Amino acid sequence: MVRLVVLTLLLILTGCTQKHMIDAVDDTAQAPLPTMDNGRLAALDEGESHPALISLYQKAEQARQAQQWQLVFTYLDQARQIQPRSATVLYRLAWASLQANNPAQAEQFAQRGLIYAESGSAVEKRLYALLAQSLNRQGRVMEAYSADQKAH
Amino acid sequence: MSKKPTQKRKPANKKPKAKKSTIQTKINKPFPWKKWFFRAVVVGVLIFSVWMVWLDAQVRERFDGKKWTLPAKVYARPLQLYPGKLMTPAQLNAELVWGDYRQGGYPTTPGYYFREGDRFVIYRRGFAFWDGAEPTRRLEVLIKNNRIERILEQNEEVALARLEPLYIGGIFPSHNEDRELLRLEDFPPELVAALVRTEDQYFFEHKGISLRGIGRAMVVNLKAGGVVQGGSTLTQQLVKNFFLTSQRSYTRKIQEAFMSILLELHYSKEEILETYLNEVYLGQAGRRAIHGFGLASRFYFAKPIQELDTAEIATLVGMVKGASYYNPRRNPKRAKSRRDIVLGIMAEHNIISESERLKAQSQSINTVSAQRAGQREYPAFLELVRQQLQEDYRLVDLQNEGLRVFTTLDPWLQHSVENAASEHLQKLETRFPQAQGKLQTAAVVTSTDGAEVRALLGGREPEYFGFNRALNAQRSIGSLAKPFVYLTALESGQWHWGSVLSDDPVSVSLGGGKQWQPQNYDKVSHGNVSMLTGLTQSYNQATVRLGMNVGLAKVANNFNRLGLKTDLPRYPSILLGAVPLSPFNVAEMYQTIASNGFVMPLRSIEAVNDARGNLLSSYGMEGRQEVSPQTMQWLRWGLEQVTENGTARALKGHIPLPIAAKTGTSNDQRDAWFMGFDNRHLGIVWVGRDDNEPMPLFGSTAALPIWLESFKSLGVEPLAPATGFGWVKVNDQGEFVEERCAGMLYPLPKNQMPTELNGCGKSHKQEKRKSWLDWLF
Repeated sequence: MVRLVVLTLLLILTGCTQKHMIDAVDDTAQAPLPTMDNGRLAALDEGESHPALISLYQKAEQARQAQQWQLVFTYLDQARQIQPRSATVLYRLAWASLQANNPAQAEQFAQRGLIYAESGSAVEKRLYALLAQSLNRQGRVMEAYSADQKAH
Repeated sequence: MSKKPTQKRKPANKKPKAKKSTIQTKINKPFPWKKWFFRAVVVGVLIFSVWMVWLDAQVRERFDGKKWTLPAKVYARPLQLYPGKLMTPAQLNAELVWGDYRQGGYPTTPGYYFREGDRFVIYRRGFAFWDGAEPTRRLEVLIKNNRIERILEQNEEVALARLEPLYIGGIFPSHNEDRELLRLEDFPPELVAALVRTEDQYFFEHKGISLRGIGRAMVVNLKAGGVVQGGSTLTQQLVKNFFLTSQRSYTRKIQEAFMSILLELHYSKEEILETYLNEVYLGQAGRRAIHGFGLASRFYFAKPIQELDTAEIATLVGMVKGASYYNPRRNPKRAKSRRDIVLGIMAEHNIISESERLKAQSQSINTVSAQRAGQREYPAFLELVRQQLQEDYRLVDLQNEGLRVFTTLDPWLQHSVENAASEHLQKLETRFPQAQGKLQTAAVVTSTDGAEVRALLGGREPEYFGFNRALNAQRSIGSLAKPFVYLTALESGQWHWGSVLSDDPVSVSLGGGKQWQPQNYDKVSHGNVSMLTGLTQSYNQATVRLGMNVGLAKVANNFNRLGLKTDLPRYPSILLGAVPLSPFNVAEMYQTIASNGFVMPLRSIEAVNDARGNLLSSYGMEGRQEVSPQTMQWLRWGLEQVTENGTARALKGHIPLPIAAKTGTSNDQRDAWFMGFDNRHLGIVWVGRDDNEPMPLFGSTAALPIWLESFKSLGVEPLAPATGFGWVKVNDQGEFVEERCAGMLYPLPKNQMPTELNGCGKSHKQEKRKSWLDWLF
């Protein structure tokens, strides 16, 4: 029993101390975050980013408004290929996945974003919030609760 | 008496007599020729009518419906241009040349570019990308220190632009016909006029067949004493190519004539001409048959048809008479003399002026290479594309529906790998003449973060369709299996890079009294070594001991967790890579290591459009977190040390940057492997013999140099430093000791940092045999 408790504590510790590699060429990781609306991104093209990304975000946002989800993902994926380790690009991919009713994919993008999000940063918290939402939508309530705790 | 018999015979003969009389009458009566002729005519007309109806149905069905089966066209990735992108001027120049751009002065038409040092002005063509069509753009690209500094369009800064992607092949039906469909108005009027005047000058007057044409051809042939000119009209030629076989018979000729008349009855001259221009056979590129002037223009002159000059137009028109005989690449003299005849006809009919004719005739025949990037195929990569497409599309649709497939292939990287492989194998064969012509190779390069396949080499002759070693060769992976053993150890929480392993001789019981006693490559045992040394020096004995300690089943399971789809047998030899896998399989597993523990299927397709440009499907990054990013970074640190001071240290002299790598050589040196990844790309290279015989080579001498040269031309980006680790000193007993003590610093996940450190005195191994981790597990 004692071993189990220690092991659990250790696992929680592992989660808390997961460190994140910051891509040297990723300037968007430091960029101000987009506005949020009830824990969600209001639009894909908000916030400051590399001009190439902004141009793709704008296209993605137009496609989102037209409910053309395939196009949304193709633009966001082009952004990811330009800055593959940008937490904010991965955040957008996770958010769009959730919007497109694909919580499993949203979970993966959020987890991936967390690798590159700076510890304690706002984007990290928002990624945890998204992770919690996507886990909740999959019925994984306990994991969602744990992620939600980290979001605050 | 004599009458009686007569009388008696009379009634008896009555009937035969009557019969005789009828026959007689019939014989005597003249045959009703007219009546039978009439009947025959009626039957003939009936048969002819039915035949005509059938021919008519055939003509209309084919002409009204889809005229051609259109193979899927496969494209490489478009080259994205944005400020900050790593890009050498050499790469941009090469991509422009492969994209059939022509260098010249300041460009005023699409398809041309101007270069002045690191400054490029590119007049990009319009192109229908999968996410929308883009018009032509004139872009100024400035490169500084091998990065794009600025992009300008009409003096305005441009954030993002892209060049149209290279055509890299098609998915053809069995007849292998390829064509680029164009509308009549897309063809240069000079070409259309030259074709009509050369092949069928009464085209706009006749109704499918031309008696004048036949007569003229007969006169010419009589004068020449042989067949030098045909009397077929363009319509007849089209019918022959479109509906009939090339068999020479009177029946076929008659059928051709009638079908031509029917065709002309139903369709306009313009429709017939447009179909002819797209249908005509104009050459062969390996398995691919070049049809239509649109594709021929790109194939022979690397230009869209609108950009052809007069001499080039005449050359193509001249080829209609015999695409092989007048092939400008193989028979330039013949092609030139035929071209000059066509130019003469063009001048005679005022399509061009006399001075234009003289100017065009003075030009030599200049075709581009059939093997150039813009028209050659990439068979190994295409096979992968086809396999992955068939998960979502039927083969018949891929072969017929004119789909446009946008892939992840990076032509620059692909060419770098091809060149590096070719050059290095030649060098090896010069050094080891016994291997002359026997060495083969395969390679897979992916992007570390998105698992996009950027290059795939299926053999040393990359342009030939044949055995695709990258996907299908099953070869022992040798020491490339070792990182999976070390990963299992690191994940267990009981081992770290400073842990001590014994590299003394090892014996594993296989059951039934059998023992397996693997040895190190150099047959030397090294006593106690750190786990790091076991990996970096690729010691077999230490690795087997570690693998058996952590558990064979766990190691085998890790192969599957990291992406291997087949189950491995639980034999101890898997610890040393007695596992037959393809380079692609190996790349799938290492992809998970390179991408921080995300298992991602390797992806070759970005998107698929239908023939009208509608997006049918797009494929983004997929994956699931299987191993914690921290564990993967811990393993990656070990792999970085392989280049720092291990079996891949040869890299360090060329690329003094952090790169993760592992060499591999299978039993008896039958397979040489190299795996390496930087911040952007993962590369797997295999070298071996198809007959699986030993070679005098290792992973570090055969496969590593191919990886090195490929990545050098790509530009290496160092691995980002791992974070979340603390450093702790470990003594030669594998114990954590104070910093002042002798020992080596090793990284340890911060949550595993020891709370207490040993002093520098005698080993505490005996007293602290069980650490808190041992206690826990």
